[in-house]
Amino acid sequence: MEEYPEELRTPPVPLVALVGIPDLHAAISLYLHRESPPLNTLALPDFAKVPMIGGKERKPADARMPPPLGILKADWLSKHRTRMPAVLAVLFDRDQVYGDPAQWMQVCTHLDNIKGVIRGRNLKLVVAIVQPTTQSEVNEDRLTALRKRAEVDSKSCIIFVTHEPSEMKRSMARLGSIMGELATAFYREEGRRVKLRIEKKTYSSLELSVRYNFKVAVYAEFRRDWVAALKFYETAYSLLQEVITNTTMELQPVERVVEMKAVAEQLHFKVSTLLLHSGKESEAVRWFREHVAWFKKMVGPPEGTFLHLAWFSKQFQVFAELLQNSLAITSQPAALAPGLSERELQPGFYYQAAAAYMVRRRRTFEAELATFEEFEDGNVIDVLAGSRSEVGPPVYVGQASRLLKRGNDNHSQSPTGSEYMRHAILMEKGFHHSHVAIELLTKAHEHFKIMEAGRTIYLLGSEMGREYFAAKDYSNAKRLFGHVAGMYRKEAWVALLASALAYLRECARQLGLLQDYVEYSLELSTLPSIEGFLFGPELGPHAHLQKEMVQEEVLELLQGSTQVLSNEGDLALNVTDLQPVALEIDLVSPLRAVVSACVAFHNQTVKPGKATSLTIALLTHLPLPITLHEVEVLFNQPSCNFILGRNRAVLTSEGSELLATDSSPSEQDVTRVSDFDLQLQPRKWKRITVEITAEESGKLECMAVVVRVGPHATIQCQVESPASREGIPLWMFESGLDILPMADGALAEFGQKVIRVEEPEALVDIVLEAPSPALVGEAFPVRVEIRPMGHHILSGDLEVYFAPSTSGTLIPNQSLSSMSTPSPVEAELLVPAVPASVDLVGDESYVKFTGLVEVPEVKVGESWSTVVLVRWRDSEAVTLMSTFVYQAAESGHPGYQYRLHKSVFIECEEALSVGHRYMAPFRRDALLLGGLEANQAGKVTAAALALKESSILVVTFKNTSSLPLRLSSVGIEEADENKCVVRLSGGQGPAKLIKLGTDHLTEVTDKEGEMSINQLMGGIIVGADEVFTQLFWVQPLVASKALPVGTIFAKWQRGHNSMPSEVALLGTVESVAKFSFNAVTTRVQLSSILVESPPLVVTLDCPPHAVLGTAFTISIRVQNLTSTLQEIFFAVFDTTSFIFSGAHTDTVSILPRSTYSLSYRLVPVTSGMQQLPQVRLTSSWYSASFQPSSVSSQLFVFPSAPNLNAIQTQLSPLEEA
Amino acid sequence: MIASVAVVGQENNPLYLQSFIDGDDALKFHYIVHSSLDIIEEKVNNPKKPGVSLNETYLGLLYPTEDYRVFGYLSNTKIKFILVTTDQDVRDADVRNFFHRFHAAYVEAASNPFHVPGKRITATAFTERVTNIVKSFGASSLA
Repeated sequence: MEEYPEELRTPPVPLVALVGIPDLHAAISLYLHRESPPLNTLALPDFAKVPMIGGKERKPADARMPPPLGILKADWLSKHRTRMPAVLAVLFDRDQVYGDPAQWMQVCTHLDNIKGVIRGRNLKLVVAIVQPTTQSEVNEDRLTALRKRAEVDSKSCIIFVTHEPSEMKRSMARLGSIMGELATAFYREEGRRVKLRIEKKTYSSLELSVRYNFKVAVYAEFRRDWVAALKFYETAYSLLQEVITNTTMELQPVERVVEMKAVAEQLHFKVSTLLLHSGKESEAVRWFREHVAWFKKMVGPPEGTFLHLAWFSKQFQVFAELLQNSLAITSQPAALAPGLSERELQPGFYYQAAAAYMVRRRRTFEAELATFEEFEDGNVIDVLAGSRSEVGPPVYVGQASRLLKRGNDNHSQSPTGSEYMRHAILMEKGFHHSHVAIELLTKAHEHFKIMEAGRTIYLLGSEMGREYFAAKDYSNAKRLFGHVAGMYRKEAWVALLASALAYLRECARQLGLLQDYVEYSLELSTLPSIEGFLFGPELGPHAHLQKEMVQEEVLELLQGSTQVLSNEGDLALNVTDLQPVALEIDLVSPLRAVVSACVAFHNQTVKPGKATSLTIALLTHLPLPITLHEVEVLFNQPSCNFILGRNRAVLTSEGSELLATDSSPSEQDVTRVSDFDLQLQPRKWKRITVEITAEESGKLECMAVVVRVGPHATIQCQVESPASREGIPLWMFESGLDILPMADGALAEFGQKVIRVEEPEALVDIVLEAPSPALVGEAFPVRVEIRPMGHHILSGDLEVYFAPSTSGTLIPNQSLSSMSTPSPVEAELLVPAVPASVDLVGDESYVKFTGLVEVPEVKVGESWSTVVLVRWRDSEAVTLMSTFVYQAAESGHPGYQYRLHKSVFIECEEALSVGHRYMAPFRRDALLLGGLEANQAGKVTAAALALKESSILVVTFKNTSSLPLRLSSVGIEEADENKCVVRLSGGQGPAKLIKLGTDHLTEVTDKEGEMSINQLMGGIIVGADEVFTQLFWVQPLVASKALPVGTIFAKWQRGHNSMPSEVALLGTVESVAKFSFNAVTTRVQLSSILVESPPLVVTLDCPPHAVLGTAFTISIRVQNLTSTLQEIFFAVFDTTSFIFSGAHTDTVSILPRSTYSLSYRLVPVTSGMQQLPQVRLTSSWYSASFQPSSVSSQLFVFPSAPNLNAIQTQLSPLEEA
Repeated sequence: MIASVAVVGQENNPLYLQSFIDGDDALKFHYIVHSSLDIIEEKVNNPKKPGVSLNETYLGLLYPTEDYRVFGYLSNTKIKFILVTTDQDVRDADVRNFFHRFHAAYVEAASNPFHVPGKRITATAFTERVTNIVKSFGASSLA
């Protein structure tokens, strides 16, 4: 758009002229320019310059017009904008007008001259009398005379006051408004004049119609009548179309066609600008579309096609710029009119089209230039390229420059057709088509980038790349095509990708990039279905490519048998030992189609040193078969790498040399296997199965396959597992069956490129012996034995630990966190303390064990063992684990650490369950109020005992384990002798320790003497589920609510005489003897008791037996231990077994601290165990009644008197108590 | 006159592309069809824009180039059908009718048990049928 002259680009502004008083011109010009609408000012310095603005003599409206030489005058527009004013303002000083007659005459002369000049042009005149002082003497006569002289009305004659700024401003406003008014009137009249000429049709040529309509439109534009202007421009445009249709464009000389199109361009530009300025984008677009469609066919003579394309490109570019400017002003996008697509409202679309025409212009011109240079004599000079004095600008729009030396009239000055064409071609030759096209594409790119039209951007990218290629800027072209190829690869647009690759290949060739050239060639030849495409005219001989030819060429290059010339032969691409080619194909590389490798082990695991089968499958999508020189397979364990050689039958002499010379010394140790057919057929898997042996344990993974295709050309290709193999993207969309890489279906489905090499077998046995079950509290011995079964152990480490206890009772709704943290094992590891060690754990002879033991050298045939002790705190089964890590003396795997695990499950049982209860003495009951209350309240409290009364404590020891236990001693340790005395039942001695055994009930007060295990070998055996009971007397000495009594303890040991069957299974007596168990003391704290002093104690006195018919006495003694009088009500329930005498019911009072004895005389009448009459006692004070239990009030009645002596001796101790 | 027709798959990969203008640069239609996918994406992603109704499969005029006009059609399974025509004024009904028949032809080709969905359509029967549809394009307006 910048190429257009200023007068065309901007809307016309009325032009006015000033003459006289030059001092004021600058201020007035500035004011008029700022006026709205603005006025341009032509300031004439003095009256002598006035004739300058005078035009030529006008022809009358009905004068006959000859056919014109051109359509639009080239300088008409600029003339009206810069040289032909509409209004002339004449400024006179006040003194000149009102001054002396000489001055007045001067004024008159000036006016006459001016009138003479403007007469032909109908120019408007304004007279202004400048009044610089406050002196305001007005001579009306002189003023009238002046108006008359100047032939202006009073409105156009103004007084211009300058002495005061505000007045001057007002004067200027007046001047401006009158001049604007007159200018509008002038342009209207001028327009009307031209219109009259159109109406009168005094001419025959359509060209003049175009010109007149154009003029009318311009005059309308001068008066800012845009609607009228648009109408006349459109008329002019359609008249021009008529002009063109009336002529045969192909037969017209090029310059004529160019002229008509130049006029069309100017008219179209005006129409588009006006439409866009009035906010009618859609209409402008539609107008442009019609414009383009109409002129598309107007190519003109073939030799000027490139000029036509240049014109077209310019149309698009200019419209894009206009649209861009218009869209920049209007904020919201225009509403989409029906029939228009969104793209058409985007400047980018037009830039892109402009670029496309620019490209076509270049291509057409290149052909044209070739013909031109073929026939053109090089010595002919371009006359139109002469100096300014020789070549003048054209008179009419779009015409050629004039040769000034060839005469005076326009016709003779015009260059000839061949001169014109030569000039055009030579001018075009200097034009940088590609640069302009790239610039246009860049602009389009900017617009499409905003729209996020990704694919269009890539299209622009490839177009730019093509232009860079045409401009021989290969590195930029390569960069752009590299981007573009990525997109087309992703969306599998094969034809487009092929085009990009063809350019990339050429770029690489031109730049001498061997590796890139090979890669692009290989990728190009592996594309599916690209036959019959033209990849780009810029490529020249390489525009038509065949995959097969590309493959043959690149393979020959890789094999070193040929070379590729680049850069017009300056630089040759060839593969030598100095320039080797090593391609790497990873899993995302586009070159996967060249060679892709799939590897599967036939097994999932293998033992070290054992052979396993491995299948390598190779696939190529090259169109022709390819023969590989060798295939090297690389593993993560380099010792497994191997090379597959070619079949000797097909090995050429050249090939054998190659294999012999190529193995460098460093690769000598690589296994080489020959005799393989290494020819790959297109799209057919080549499967090779080999046996490989892994030496190291762990993971063996196939990493890559290196394929050698030439002496100095290798392709390294990352391998895939068949199970996780992905198809080659571009070929995935091709029809046809996908063949599995492996012949074996299972292998193809699940095959892996990784195999697990197992660890070498440890030839050592670990034996964990434990005489299960264990008992809580004892140090349970577990024997760990290490027996070499073929390995000579050099050194090793044994670790013993508990398996994390999952305890087998996982509650499903447990939270995950609690499940994951294993509960601590209720057992600990111990070892016997070293005797010298001082810091023993308490009084024990064990220390805690960390679990780690170093194992010394153990030879085959020998064994090593140790004993680990386990002590439980709670009866819970545990799993004891042992891990043995060792180094063997065997050769082959020096330093290899073998690892072995073993575990044993050990159950644990509680050994003893200790129970106890308190009993009142026989037939002696105390009223215990606290105990009654507790019972009534339903609370389970401590046992209640009477103060200073002896109660019986029954302690039971039950063997809850499945083993017999040897109970060596039991006893109670008193908590405080002064508060509560505990005595052994049957004896008066303290109950501290009772040694059990054959001589049971022997007291041992000496605490120190009983520690040795051997001493305790005595004692009594308590079998499984048997109960041992021991009685004690307890006599509390102080009243208390919670009186501690003491601790029951029992010393026990596992009974040896009957070992469980598991231990017996170990065989020998020796093995049983290996386990020795310590004695364990179980302690149970007696719960505190409630001690209170009873208010009443009831004792039943009764003989131990009776004889039928013999009378005896029972007495119920009630002791009142309180200091108050107690009333006791009693009642006797009769029985049939006895006849008795005494009161049945009564109430008695008992004095404080005294005893009341209620005696009955009884005569038994039935023999046998008989129920005595029961007496019910009720204390009204405490409202408590007492009735002895029926068991305690039974008596045996002999039929006749027994031998009492024997009974007496037996029972005497009881009576004493 | 129809210059080219194309079927584009869900991954925006070409399933079928046929041009009916001899001697012209066939690659050009690949570019035109590929760029038109941008506009289909725009239309699908900005359904609020005026002139776009996603209730129907026919997408209307996608964009004009200097010589051609490109129309689009999007099936429920995101298969795109694209028509490139040289006619500057095409009856909307004709284009709709064309796409319906083209879609039907594709459905039939895709129903072929030997056709794997997502792969290029190579069946000659489809090509023949499409050629017939293309030949009869606009015939109804003439009749």
